[in-house]
Amino acid sequence: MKKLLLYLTIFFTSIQFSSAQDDGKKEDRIQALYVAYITQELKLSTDEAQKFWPLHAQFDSEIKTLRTEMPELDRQQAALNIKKKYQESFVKILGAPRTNDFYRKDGEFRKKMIDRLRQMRQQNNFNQRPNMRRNLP
Amino acid sequence: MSNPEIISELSAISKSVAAIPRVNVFSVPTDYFNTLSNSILHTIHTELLFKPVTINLNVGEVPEGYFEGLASQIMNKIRDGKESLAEETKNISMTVSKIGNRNVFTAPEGYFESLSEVINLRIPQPARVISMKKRTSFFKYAAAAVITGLIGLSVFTVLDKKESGHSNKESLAVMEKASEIIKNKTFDLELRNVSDKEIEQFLTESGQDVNAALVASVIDESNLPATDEYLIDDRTLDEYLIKLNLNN
Repeated sequence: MKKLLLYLTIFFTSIQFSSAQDDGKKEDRIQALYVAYITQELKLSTDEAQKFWPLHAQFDSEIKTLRTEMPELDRQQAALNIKKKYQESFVKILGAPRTNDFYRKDGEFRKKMIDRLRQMRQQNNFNQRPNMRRNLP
Repeated sequence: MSNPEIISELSAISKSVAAIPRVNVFSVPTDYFNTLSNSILHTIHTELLFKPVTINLNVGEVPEGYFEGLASQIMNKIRDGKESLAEETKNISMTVSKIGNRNVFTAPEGYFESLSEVINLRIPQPARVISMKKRTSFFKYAAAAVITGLIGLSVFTVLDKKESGHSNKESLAVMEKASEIIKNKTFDLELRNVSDKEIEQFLTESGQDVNAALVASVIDESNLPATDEYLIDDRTLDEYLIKLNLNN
């Protein structure tokens, strides 16, 4: 019995372990895509990128404190507050027009992600439920 | 014997001794020593070998009827002439006589009946070893569980530290990957490799409602059914949503 407990502990520990590592990698992939996209779209120079991305990491960590569970308007307000807070610092690095561009491109990247997600969902649903239409009245 | 040196030395030591005339005072008959051994042997033979019986008989003479009453006579002498046993011991030692004939050693009632049980109880029982074994095995596994837990915890704390301490390294890896994507223009390819779970996580982390965003994006891109179609069939909207096939 105790032995079983021991094995179970080791088993779950290892699972938690590996899943935690996977999560880190997964997030990294999209993060890399994001960095690549923004860098390319804003045509960031090496110098600009060196200043911009550390600041963006700070900005991002604050944005990530927002939760979907919050009332939608509160969430939008909070996001706007954070953006306003960082506005000045972003402008110092990028200039005002490109800071605007950054926000637009950030939105565009998200839209790309949503599109991709929709594509995958629709494909999945089509593959999994090909008879759906027939079930209709 | 007439050495003048010895005489002068002797007179110097003691004159009275020197004055004694030097004459042999002991004398034996002639041929005494020649016959001495024979006469001794003769005496031994005559006294020990030829007259032994007469010697013994002469010693052992007792009065008539001496042995008949001897035992009773001795016993009577012991009884009459001496004190009783108690008196005798009293004369020898007062302390011992005080003890008398009493049995000074006593035991509680039923002592010897229950003695074996008492002894058995005092003997340590070997059966307890079994219970000890059980305990050790339990503690062994409990200790193992605790140690495993500790190791697990320490691993997590170490990992946490690494994660916070090496966030720069991680972001560096992200940057390298990003520059690779730009250089090789593999953005679309990489995007295709990303799973929907990853995208969902990315969007949700920044507080975006994924499902709402999905529906919104669909409405942006697809043409809504014409107004007339709603009038013809009230199930048009349902069908439209199904056509979009977004339900997860």
